[in-house]
Amino acid sequence: MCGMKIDYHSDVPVYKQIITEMVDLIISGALKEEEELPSIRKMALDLNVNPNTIAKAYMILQEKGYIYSIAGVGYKVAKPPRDSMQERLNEFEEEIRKILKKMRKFPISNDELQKRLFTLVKEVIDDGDQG
Amino acid sequence: MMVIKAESLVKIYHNGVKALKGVNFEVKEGRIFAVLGPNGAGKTTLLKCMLGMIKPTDGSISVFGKTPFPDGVKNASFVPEGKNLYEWLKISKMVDIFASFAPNFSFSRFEGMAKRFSLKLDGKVGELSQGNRTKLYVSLAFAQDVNLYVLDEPTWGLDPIVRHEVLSLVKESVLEGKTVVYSSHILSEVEEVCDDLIILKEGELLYNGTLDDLKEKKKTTLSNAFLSLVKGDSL
Repeated sequence: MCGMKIDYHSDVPVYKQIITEMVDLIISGALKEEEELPSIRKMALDLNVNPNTIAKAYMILQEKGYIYSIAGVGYKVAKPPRDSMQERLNEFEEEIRKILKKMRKFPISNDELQKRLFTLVKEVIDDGDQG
Repeated sequence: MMVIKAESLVKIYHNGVKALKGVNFEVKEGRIFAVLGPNGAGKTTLLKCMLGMIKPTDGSISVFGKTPFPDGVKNASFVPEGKNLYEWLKISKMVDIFASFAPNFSFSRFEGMAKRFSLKLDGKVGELSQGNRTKLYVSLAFAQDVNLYVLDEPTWGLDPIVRHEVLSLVKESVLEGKTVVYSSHILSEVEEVCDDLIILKEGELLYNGTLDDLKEKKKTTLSNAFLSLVKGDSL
């Protein structure tokens, strides 16, 4: 969680940045079901973020079913809610779609565009397999 | 719980300057509340009204349920905008004098702050650089164990390292359940710390709400939202 990058000056509020990062960690399995999360206090100090912002992010993650709280113990990771991965995939695809539309405006053939995209996909898959 | 409530607050100075033209807002407990605005917006006047240092001309303001003027607010400490009092005093003497009248002053808290800010306590106040003077005022304010901290430009003249420390201190105070009112003209640092904010211009409120809502409504950064509001765009 320490690798989380916060941009205070983005047009995306900090609590939303934290939610997105944590949702991705939970869906990918980097944060496992039943795993204990840092307290609001620890998270605030680690990320150097206003504790109220962490509390807001945790509250929304809890409402959406990504995490749950146990009185007196703290917060734990829940099983990723149904459709959560599909929702994030749709968002990622939207980002890729935007970039592809920009590339399409350049004077390159459809074949060239497809080839470049395929090469990229293969590269990422091979990287992942190696380690 | 509400810590501060201002209703139709007006301040007209003897020279006829209308510093506040009927402002309404609330500051909730445990929140970091920023007061933003261009020069001459009325920020310092507003902070002085909160602390009972000046008498409002009309409307009302209450802090911890009481009217601050003329007795002041016991449960609050203050970093003033003009950090140039007691120039002739030795720093150690100034700390003693401050401790003698400041409510809930703790020497151990003060030592902790001074250490954190690498503040040297030798010499006279007047010999301190602008940055060190700010460090001294911030250390004195946070040495008081009170529920409300009112900070007027608390990072004035500080280098990036000490500025970072002050901002961390402000954020950490929330963990102790404290409330902070923070006035600054440096948007980037306000953006880093605050929950709620008001934007003042020529004594009138242009915005009153959370930082998150402002960004989500305007779909832009704080500095762009601030500039467009000050230029006269509506939300």
